[in-house]
Amino acid sequence: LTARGGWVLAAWTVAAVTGTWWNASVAQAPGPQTNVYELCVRGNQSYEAGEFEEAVDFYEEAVERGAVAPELFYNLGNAYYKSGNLGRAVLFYERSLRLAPRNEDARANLTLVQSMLRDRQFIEERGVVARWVTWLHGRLNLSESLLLTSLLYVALVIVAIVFVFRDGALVSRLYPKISLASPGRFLGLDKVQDFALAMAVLSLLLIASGTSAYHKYRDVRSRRAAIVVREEVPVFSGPNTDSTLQFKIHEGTRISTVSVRPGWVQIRLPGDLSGWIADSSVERI
Amino acid sequence: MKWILALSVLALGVGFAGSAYAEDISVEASLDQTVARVGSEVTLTVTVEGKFRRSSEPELPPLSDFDVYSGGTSQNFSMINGRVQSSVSYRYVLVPKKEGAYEIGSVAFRLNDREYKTKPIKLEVVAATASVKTPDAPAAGEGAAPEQDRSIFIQADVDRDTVYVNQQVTWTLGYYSDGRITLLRSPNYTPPEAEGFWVEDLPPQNKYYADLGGRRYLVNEIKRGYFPTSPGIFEIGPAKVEVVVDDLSFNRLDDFFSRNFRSRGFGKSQTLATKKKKIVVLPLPQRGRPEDFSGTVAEGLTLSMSADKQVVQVGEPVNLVVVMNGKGNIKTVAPPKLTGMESFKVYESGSQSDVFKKDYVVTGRKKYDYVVVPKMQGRHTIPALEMPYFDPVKKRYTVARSHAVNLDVQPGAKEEGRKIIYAGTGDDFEVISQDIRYIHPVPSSLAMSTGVGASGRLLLVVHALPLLVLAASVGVERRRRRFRANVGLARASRALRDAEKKLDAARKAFRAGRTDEGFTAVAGAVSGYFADKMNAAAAGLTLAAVEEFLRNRGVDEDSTVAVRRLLADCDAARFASGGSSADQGEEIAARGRDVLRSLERGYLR
Repeated sequence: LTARGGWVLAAWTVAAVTGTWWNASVAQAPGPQTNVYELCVRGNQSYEAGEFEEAVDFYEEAVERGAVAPELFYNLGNAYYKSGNLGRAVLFYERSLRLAPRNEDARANLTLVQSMLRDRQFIEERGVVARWVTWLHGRLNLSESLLLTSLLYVALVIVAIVFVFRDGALVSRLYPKISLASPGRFLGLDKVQDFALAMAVLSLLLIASGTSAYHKYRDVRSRRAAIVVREEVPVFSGPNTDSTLQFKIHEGTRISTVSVRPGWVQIRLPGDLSGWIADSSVERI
Repeated sequence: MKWILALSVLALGVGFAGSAYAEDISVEASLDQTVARVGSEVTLTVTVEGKFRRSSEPELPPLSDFDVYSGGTSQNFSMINGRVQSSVSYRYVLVPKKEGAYEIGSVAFRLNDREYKTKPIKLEVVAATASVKTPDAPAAGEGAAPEQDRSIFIQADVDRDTVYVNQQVTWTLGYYSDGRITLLRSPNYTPPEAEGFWVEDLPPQNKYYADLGGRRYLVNEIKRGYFPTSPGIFEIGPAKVEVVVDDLSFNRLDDFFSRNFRSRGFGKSQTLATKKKKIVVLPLPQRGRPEDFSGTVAEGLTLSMSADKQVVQVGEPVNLVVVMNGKGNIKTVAPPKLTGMESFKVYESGSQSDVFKKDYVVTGRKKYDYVVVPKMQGRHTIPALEMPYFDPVKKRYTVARSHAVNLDVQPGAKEEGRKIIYAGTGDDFEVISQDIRYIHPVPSSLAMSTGVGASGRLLLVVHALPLLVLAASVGVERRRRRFRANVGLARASRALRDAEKKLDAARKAFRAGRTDEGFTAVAGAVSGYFADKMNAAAAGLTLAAVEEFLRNRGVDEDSTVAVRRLLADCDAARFASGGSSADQGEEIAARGRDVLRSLERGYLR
């Protein structure tokens, strides 16, 4: 591994990580930001004055102008809750959590609002491993998942390159120091096995992180998850009101959209429940 | 319309018309009234009794001034003293079209190959608005003569004739018998019809003796509870009892029975009827009516509420039972409303009604089951239930109240993940109510959506680079390993590079005026190049060995000559007396580079 190669690798790492971060995040747009900022501030002022419906108007205006911020969505969820609109409150808490999954306030408020909903909310039973993976998956947003995946990818490639030059002078000189932190040393592995172990672990982490990022990306792009925003919505067996009325769902219920027809959307609920509802009765997260 | 069936067997009072006898067969026709209004319904009953197996359908006389409808057929078989007796009644509904005095002609039968005819019956039809005396007043068994003069009679009465909506009216039917008459079979009782009432039978049947007019009667009483469903004036219709007495009794009867019983050779039958009872139903008063009054009318209504647990976890279901007790038609009472249940999810899980009739008063117990699931921890209270109702005895509205139910809701299993150790001995925090967490301040830099993936392709390229670097590293390492394993190959591979380095050093030496050193370097570069290519020591390398090497590698003659000249010029310059100039040295060095590059490119790579 030459000094020139090291610089190339370092430059690439910086470029990749920065690029990932920038790509998955949203660009700053200073032009309309000022107005949007004022709208959000006025929304907060209305909320603090107890004018919750007015606060909703300000926040919604900011959202319409393209503002995307977990704080804004969280505050809008609060304003909707205080206005008695539980469905939209759930919608915006979900949107806030998608951007900032570790926002404990949004999670607490969502839990509280869900406990007030008319429909029973489904929570899937999961095993220990699945719970751990899900927990990790739920702690990172899309940008963070992509960044983690990129970092793991870079780390795996670096370890692979070092492995290629494992007999080189530089690697031979540095390995005894680096391997102090390697579990392979305690397991009695030789240098090759140690590198193989490191690459296997990194590969597994990369697959897990990449899968998580892929799912988040797919969720964002496909926009399948949606929230019922009408008080009571009849679910028909087909995309018209002449079809059989199967059951009813109520505001705040999270559903998964399957397919779309003009004015209608096919939904799926846990427990193999499926049907068609008016498109206007749900909002995609 | 059971009473019509009963009527079909007997001709009561005014309806009796006549009979036809032939051997042991009797055929008779009767009308349920002798005077009728235009458009009203008159029932013609044709009865054939006796020993026969099958009868033909009766042939009605011409009835052009009536609309005629079939009213059905009823049939009875009995065996008395080993003799089979049959009785078939055919009913027809006649609707007179116009006024006048009519005679319903004979109705013909064919039985056992013989024809039987009934006697004609007279019927007077009056205008639709005319007053007509109905058979209910006076009835055969009530009002036609003082009860005291009779051996058997029935009598109906109500405990009150003015009530509120949904207040109980107890109707009592008394069957009086002085024991002088022997009944051939049990009396056949037809309860009264009562439109606009919810009815409950009130067992048990009551028996006692009563002295009336110097006679001792055995009285059988049955009772019914009537609950009017709306205000207005309603009637409880006549109840009817059909009795059949033996001929011996018949001969001993007083004039009334002589007139009204009919002999058919196997007992005498008569239908006794009560008078209608008019009930005035008052609407519930508007004054003092609570806003949430839902129409419950009862006496002494009580309400209770209980839970099967007092300490529960969040999400744990609690069975809540609400019980309502009171006098009245509790079965129809709407369930009380659970209020203040924001901290719970509430599911109705069923209801059960029990009706008791102690002392002939309808009492009800209604039980409602709920499942309530606490949504948040803390000490929660299910507020006391209230049920406003109207008490018809006190004639005012009142409210039944239950006790409140307190629940201590502990954190659920989900919330026990973090163990909290408390210091001190203070009380736990009491959650009074729960609300959402407050809004967040607006961040100083708000992000604006520009769409995801604006630099996606660039990112893919950037992420492809590490794989290229890895591939290059693998290539480099493989080459290095190959050279390490084959020294000759390694020397040949770097022969030109080493030679060019020496030639560069030679040029520097020439420019510095160190011409001897420069020529030595040129000669070393050229001989070193061939030594590396031949994997031989440079020191012992001869021109002949080089030329042979070049010939073996197929180098053309011109190149071989150029190499020979180059080496010769180097030697001449190094060993010539007086030395050569630096310019000559640089020219030889440049020529050496060209020759070696040419060989490398053409033959020796």
